[in-house]
Parts: sequence; C-alpha cells; structure tokens
Amino acid sequence: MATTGASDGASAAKKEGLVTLMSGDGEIFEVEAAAVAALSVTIRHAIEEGFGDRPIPLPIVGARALALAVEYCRKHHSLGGGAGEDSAAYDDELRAFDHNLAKVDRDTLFDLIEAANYLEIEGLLNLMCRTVAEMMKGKSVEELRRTFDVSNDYTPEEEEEVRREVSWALD
Amino acid sequence: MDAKKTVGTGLDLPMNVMLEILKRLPAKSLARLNFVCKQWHSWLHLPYFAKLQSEHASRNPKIYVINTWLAWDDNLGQNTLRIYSFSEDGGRVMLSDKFAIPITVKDDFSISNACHGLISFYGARYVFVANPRTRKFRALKEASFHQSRVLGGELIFPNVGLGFSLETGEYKVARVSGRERRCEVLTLGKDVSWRDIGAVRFPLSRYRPAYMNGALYWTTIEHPGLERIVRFDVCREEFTGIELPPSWSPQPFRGKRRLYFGVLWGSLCLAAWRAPLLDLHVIDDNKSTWASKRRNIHSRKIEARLNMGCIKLIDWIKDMTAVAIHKDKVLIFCELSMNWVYHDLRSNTSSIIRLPNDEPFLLTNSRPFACEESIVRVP
Repeated sequence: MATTGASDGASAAKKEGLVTLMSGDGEIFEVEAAAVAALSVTIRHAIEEGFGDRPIPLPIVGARALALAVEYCRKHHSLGGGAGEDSAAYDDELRAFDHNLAKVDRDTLFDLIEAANYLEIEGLLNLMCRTVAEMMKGKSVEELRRTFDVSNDYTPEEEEEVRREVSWALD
Repeated sequence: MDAKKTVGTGLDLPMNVMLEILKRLPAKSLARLNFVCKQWHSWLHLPYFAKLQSEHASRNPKIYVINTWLAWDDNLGQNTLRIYSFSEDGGRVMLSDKFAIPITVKDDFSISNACHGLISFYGARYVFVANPRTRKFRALKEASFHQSRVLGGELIFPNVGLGFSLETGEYKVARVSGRERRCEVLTLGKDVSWRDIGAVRFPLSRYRPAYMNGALYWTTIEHPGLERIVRFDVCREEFTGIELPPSWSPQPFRGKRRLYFGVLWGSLCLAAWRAPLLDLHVIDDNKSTWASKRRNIHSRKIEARLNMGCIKLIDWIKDMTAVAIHKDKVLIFCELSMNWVYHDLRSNTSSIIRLPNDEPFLLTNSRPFACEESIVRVP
C-alpha cells in the first residue's frame, strides 16, 4: 500500500488536483481527484458538492478497504478501463490486476464489496460479486450459513416443503 | 472507533449486493441456496430477482434439444416428451442433463420458441409452457379454434409463439389457426381462456418464430409474392408486415431451402440453410423505426468454415437438418449423419457433438433451441 499515501491528518498541505478522503476508522488518504472521481460516483458527487477542500468522510469504509479501492481506481483510470470487464480497454494487464485483487482473504473481500457498493464503483463491485459467487459454488449449505453468518430458521416440515419445490436440482 | 466489523463474524451485506452476487450462480446452485434460511428463500423468489438472474444468464444461453417423437403409451395413458440439455466446457459440448415431461393428451407436438427462460410447445389443440431448467411445466387451456385437417388428411399445425411484454412484464402465447387465420392470445397467470383478437392478414409460414425485445417474428416465406417478415407486438397484440432484407435472394422460395429465425449479435437473424451453405441475414431492430431503418449488416456464407478437417459437411448433411441460433453460436443438427455440428461464429470453429449411444431418442424428431437458464416460475 506504499503508493496510497496515508498521512496523519487533514492538515497536510493541499496539492493541486488532490482530494482528501477519510475512512470510517479515521485514516486520511490524499489521492488524485481525477482518478477516484472517474470511477466512484459517490466521490464525484461529493467533489461536485464542494467537498474538494475538506476531507470527504466515508463512514462505513475501513482504511484497508479504502486503500484497495483507491488502488483499483488509480489502476483502472490510468489504463482507461473504468467501465469494467465489458469495456474495450479491459486488457491483460487489468485482468491480471483484478485477478490479484480478488485474491484477498474473505473478510477483506466482504469489506471491499461494501466499500465498492458505498463508493459506487461499478467495476469493482462486479469483480467482487463475481469472486464471491465463484467462492459460493462449491460450498455446502452449512458452509454457506457459516460464511454469511446466518442460521437455519426452518422447521423440518418447512425444509421438506423446500425440498419438494426444488426437487429438480437435487438429483 | 471500530468501524470495521470484527474479523470472523461473517457479514451482513445489503440486499442489492446479495442479489448481485446470487444472480451470477448457475440455476442449479441457486436451488440449493433455498435451504440456507428463509430470508434467502424469499430473495430467490422475488420476481425482480428472477429478472436479474435471467438477464445475466442470457449472456450465455444453454443449448437444449427437445424430442417431439411421441408414442402414446396405453398402459400409462400418456406420452413422454424429452428435453436434453448440453453444456460447454473448454470448447467441448456434451450432453449434461435430460428430463421427461409426461403428456396426458393425445396430440402431436412441436416446439415453438424460447423466451426469457421459458419455452412453449404445442399440438393441434393444446399449448404447453415449460421451464426446461426447473422442469416445471403447465398445459394451457384447450384452444378455441381447432386446426382442421387439410388435403390428404395431413394435419397442419397452428402457428404458436411465446412472447414477453416488456411493458407489463407478462408472458403471452399467441396462436394462429384455421383457414381464416384467427389469432387468439392467452396471458399467462392472468387469462383463464383464450381471447380472440381477430384474423391475421398475413399467411404465416410453418417455420418456428423467434422472440426478441417484446416482439415475435414469423415469415410468410412460403407464399411467393407475399414474402415478408411478420412482427407481432406482444404488448399491443398487433401484427405488422416488414419487408425482407434487400440481400434476400429474390428467387421464389424453394422447398430445399430451410429457414430459421434466431437472435444473433443482439439482432434478429434470418438464416437460410441449403446444404452446405448457411446464409445469415441480420436485421437491425431500431424499435419504432424498425421497418424504415432495417438494413442488412451481415450476410455471409460460412461454407469454408464448416469444413472440419478432412470431413466435409456436404458429404453428410442431407435434407433433415435443424438449426438453432443464439448469441454468436449456431447449432446444426444433421439427423441422417447421427451427429450434430456446433459452430461458433466468433471463433469460426466447428465441433462435432458425439451423441451417447444409449439415447436413441436424440436421433429422431429432435429440435435444438437456445434458452437462458432461468429460475423463473411458469406463470
């Protein structure tokens, strides 16, 4: 994360073309406004509303996820692939970058999804959703409950009802 | 201070994000997710989710084959209609699943078309609608107008098409039959019986229709001098005639040429098959100005590309063929050669699908079609 440039306070000298972001856990990031505004709808709107001079608060985005999201914006902005995998500019370098980014651990993955959703970075959200979907494919129902932190609230009768409904998929 | 969730407690993603994730799973995996909890079960049953999932699945539709060879079984009191599905893995296409639909009415059946995850097939009096993925199906009420037998006692099938009204989100079946070409429509999940919407001005051909963007398309190609494409607006329930592509050969229709409608590169495609040539006419659909703006974008012969190694297609393909077109793939089914050819227009490659020996039903009266894998309910 050496390139992300986290610093210790909002008081850092303002440089031309930079915008300051503040993560939910209070870390400050100074990043190129053009790169993040091109990919994040939320930040673009914040800049348009005059947040350019003050740190933009991003309450639900943690520092680690924000650093990764910013890295994603920089890379995709510089290579012109802002529109994601359907865009013509989506080449091997971006593919490799996305592939590496998706290799993060589960908790970071989920934090990144929330960050991409909040920041409205479509390409990143699609990438992460695809990654989670791939991860879900081979998992048992019990593993899925653990992964997504939900518990079984069916009675045995209700479960039997579901079984009948989706019998086509169970053989 | 601790805005980040504690590590290891799972997660609570917003519903819109969960649906974005779930729509990417294959239909069979989705079925299993119903068991996770009631919340997930309710998400998977949202009509909005069925739409999301169907849109996603339409990027890579599955090839199915329906076998309409029906033999009435007196003991069981039923016919059996078989549907086979194929999957593609690393360029290889293989049989992946099959299921049978019991039909308790004595009738001959034919497939009409696929539309948003559902297919319809029909006989002289009955129309069925099925979801080939979830294996759910239902018979619609018996039609009001029966097709009469014509010269020589040969039964001429009615024209049936399954469409989707983009404005109202409803599936409808249109059925044209009889000498007067009466059209009756049934809205699935709403109409209890067929509604007569009057006579159709155009004589529709016996070829299967195609559905695209809220409209069904037939041709009148068997009627020299009247050759047109006939468009049925599913929402407004109106038929209009559209002229054929300028590149369409002006010579009168001849029996040896077979026609197929499909959706290719997002546009309506009229394919004319005359072994070993497949002419593809792709027509631009510009919504309101469809007729005036239509143009022929691609009209190409793929003869050269259909030569596979030392085997020339022309050597095996006789008259009994069927073609399914979807996205950028063409499936050519050669019954007499007992093989199918699967051609990918994007990569210009053909592959032969080897049929399992223990599926004799695949070899006769089978018709390929492309349909997205959807969990949509049959209304």
